[in-house]
Amino acid sequence: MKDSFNPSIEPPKKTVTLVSSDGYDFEVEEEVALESQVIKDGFEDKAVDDREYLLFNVHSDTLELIIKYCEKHVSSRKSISAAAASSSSSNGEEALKEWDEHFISVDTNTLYDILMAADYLNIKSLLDLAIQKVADTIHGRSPEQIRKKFNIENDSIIDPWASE
Amino acid sequence: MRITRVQHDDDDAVEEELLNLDDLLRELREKSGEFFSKLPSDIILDNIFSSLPLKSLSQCRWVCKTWYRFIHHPRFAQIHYQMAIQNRCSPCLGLFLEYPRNELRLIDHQVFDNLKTSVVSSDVETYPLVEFGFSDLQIIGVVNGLVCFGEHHHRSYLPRKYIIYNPITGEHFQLPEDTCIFTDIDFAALGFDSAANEYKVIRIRDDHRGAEIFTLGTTRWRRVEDHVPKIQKTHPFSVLVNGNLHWISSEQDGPLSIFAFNVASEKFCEFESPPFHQEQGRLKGALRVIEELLCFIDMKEFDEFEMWVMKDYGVQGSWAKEYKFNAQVLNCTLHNYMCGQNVFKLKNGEFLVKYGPKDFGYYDAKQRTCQPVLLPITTDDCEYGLHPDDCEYDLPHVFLLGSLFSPKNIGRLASSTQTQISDQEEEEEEKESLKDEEGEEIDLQVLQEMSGELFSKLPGDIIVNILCRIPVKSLSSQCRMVCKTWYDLIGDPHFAEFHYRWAIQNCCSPCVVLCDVMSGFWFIDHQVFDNLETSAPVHSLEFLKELEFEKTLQVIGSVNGLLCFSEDQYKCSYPVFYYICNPITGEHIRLPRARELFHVEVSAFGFDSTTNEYKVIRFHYDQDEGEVYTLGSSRWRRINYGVPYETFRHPFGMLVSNHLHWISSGDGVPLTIVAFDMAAEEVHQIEPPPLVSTDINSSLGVIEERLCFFRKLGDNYFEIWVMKDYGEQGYWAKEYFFDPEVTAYLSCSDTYTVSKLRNGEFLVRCGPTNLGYYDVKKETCRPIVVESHFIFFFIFQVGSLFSPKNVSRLSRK
Repeated sequence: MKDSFNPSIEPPKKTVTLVSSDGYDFEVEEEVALESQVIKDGFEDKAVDDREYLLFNVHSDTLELIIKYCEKHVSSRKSISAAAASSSSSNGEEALKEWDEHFISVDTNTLYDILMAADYLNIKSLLDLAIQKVADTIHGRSPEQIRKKFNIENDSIIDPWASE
Repeated sequence: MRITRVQHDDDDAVEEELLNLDDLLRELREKSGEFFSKLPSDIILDNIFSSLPLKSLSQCRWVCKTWYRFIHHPRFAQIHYQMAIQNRCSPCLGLFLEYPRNELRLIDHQVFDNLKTSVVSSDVETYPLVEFGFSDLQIIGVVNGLVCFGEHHHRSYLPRKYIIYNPITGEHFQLPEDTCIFTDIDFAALGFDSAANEYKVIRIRDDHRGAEIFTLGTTRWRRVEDHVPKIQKTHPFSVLVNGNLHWISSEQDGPLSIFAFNVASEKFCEFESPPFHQEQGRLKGALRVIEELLCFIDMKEFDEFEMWVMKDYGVQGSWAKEYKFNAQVLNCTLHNYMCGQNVFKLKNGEFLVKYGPKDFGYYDAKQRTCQPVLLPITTDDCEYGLHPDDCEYDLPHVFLLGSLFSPKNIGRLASSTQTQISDQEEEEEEKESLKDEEGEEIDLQVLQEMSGELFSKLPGDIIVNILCRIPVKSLSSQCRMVCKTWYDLIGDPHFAEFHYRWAIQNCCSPCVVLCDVMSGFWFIDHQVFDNLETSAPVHSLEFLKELEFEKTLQVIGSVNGLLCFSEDQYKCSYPVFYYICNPITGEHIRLPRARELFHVEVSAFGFDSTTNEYKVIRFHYDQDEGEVYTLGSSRWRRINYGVPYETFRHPFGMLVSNHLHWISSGDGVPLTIVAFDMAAEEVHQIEPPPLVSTDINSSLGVIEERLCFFRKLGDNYFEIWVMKDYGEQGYWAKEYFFDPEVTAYLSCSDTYTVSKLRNGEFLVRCGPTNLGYYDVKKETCRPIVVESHFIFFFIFQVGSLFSPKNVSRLSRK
């Protein structure tokens, strides 16, 4: 699809700089950064050369993942709408779902970092994804498995059901 | 849902505070020598300590350890503060010397209590604020003797630091800065919700683009969901009255108006302004609090300021012109940028005012004279703008009614004080009711501590969000058993409420309860329909076997995931026993026996959303009377309303807009809809859609919380009318057409239950033993195989964790 564009007439992409808590600069395309509702709010009012955001709560490792997620979602949205416009059948949505599934399959610590960053940056779809992931991890497991997974101490000496 | 998370600084302090104030008092009497040991406790508390000036109290702290603990007790702080208000103590005057000095000078309240006109240096206490580590400080607000400082919003780079400071005790607490969401902050305010005993700091973004809020005792800043109105930037100092923060609106050239922010609900609303003649472009005015009433200072005239007072807070038209101030005395003061509260009515009726950039005095509103108070100024101060001749520079200041509240434990105050008042026996109950009054409160602190690595780091609201996504069945049978804290949380009625609301908002599929003629009641989990599966496993409702009269049970209603059973009206001529159960958790209760033996025509189970009460209603066969039982009460009540003789018993009453609905129709009587008002307990009639001759087969249902009229026309036409605007003569519209072949079984049972799923398909009955997903547009139905025998009827309901045992406790407010 990209072949239909002539790169020479494409305007230069506007970029935004995101600075992680440990001081790394990430230059990302404007539309990628705008996936974050926090950045989107009042974005227009900010001067073009002042589009730098200090993200005090997001470590560079996490920020890299977040940007990866946003980039993927922006590009998939484009290809899905392009496919819809040319009415060619596309399994873009399912592919994206699969990609999301793969993306969020991380260890608990990374999951926590992603969850908190998504909450801080207010990226609703990513927050939902991360929260759903935790919920799915809990759902369908026996109490013993849940304890093991999240390292929870079993303090119920008596069976609560028996006491009823 | 409010989530409280308490901060622990050191465990010893916590231990100490849990000590009862009475015990401390006893200890104090024992240890404080002969004189105190003979005095009764109430005299020590009420007459001696409570009326001591703060300055002396802070000296007394060092007498001995018991005295220290006593004076630092949060309950004592509360008693002392209330006493100060009752006795109309004067405030301390806090002068704030800005950057680079960063110093708060507190002039003792006794100066103003005694109407002294000159302040000596012993009356002034200086508090250097450099220890906070801020460069450029700004006063954000003052509540209950606590001052909130923040980094200057316009002069600092990325202001994110805030401190709650009690200058009297010297304690301070810094809000976590790394969870701040926004950096473009215009101004901030400190609010206090007295009902919940919560302190909140709100920060408002530039150009009212949004706001964020921090509740003391929690761990992080949250976004305020409500839209932020335009607030006048020249008066950003908010005024706190009745749990609302107030500002003046800044619509350019618009009429002057007042905005309020409710600290408890976190919502903005427009507030009534004083009824004076509105002029174009008039923006001169300021808000103040005098004697805990909201005041508006009208600066219309040059030589006179009128002061309007809202006599009854929140009551329209209660604004009254109360005082007139001589503007020559007050001119340069009342509309000043940095100033907050700078008018205070003293005990003798005079006002303590600021009347010049650095001048304070006692103002007599009747005589219109002002007696200045001389402040001690050293030569050193001249450098920092305290010099009286340097009029350009305005001195930020606060009037501070001092208190002993500690910013470190105010989040904990509510529970610790309330339980001490109550007797030991009542303690449990008190706690319970306190919780109810405060609304929704789940203490997630323990949960986080107990629940392993991931959960200990997650904020409480996110944990609740996670648990809400887990299907009810899994929550109640599996997750509940993980550990005691999970057990308690999942069993908490407030969590149940939150979980249910989440399910409704996110269009969760309903669970299905079905009745098999041969084998009783069965249950299908909603996950089957969420995932659009085509075979549905059924679970037996085992607990029903515990109920007596098991063989003759009949469902008479379903609300909020709770089912109501009665004795079967076909098999039992005079039913008197009713049961309410939650099919998911298995909890159930039996209601008290109904009052009278009568032939029940119609019975129903409903929920009154105005009072949060559940009610069971039964009507007599052919008389205008019935009985109502409110969950939580001890007996049935008689009501003098009946439903028409021809009212259809099936389907059971449909609950929409706080009314239960049935169809009534009979030979020679036109069809009508009978509605029972859950709150008023009255019967009304509602206009049905335009009638046709075959309407004898019609029925009612609910789709997407709207009342529906199901009409079968012959064998080839099935339509559903929806009531768009609910009302006695509401507007009906034909909305859906169902293929009668596919939905033939809809009318086989008496209950026309259909339920619209998230994807737009309908969950319907489509065969003797099957359910199906019905696509209205394509007129196709994908069957769902239900592992059961012949089905008598279905009930669709969104599952919940509500317990019939404590729902009534929630409603009793």
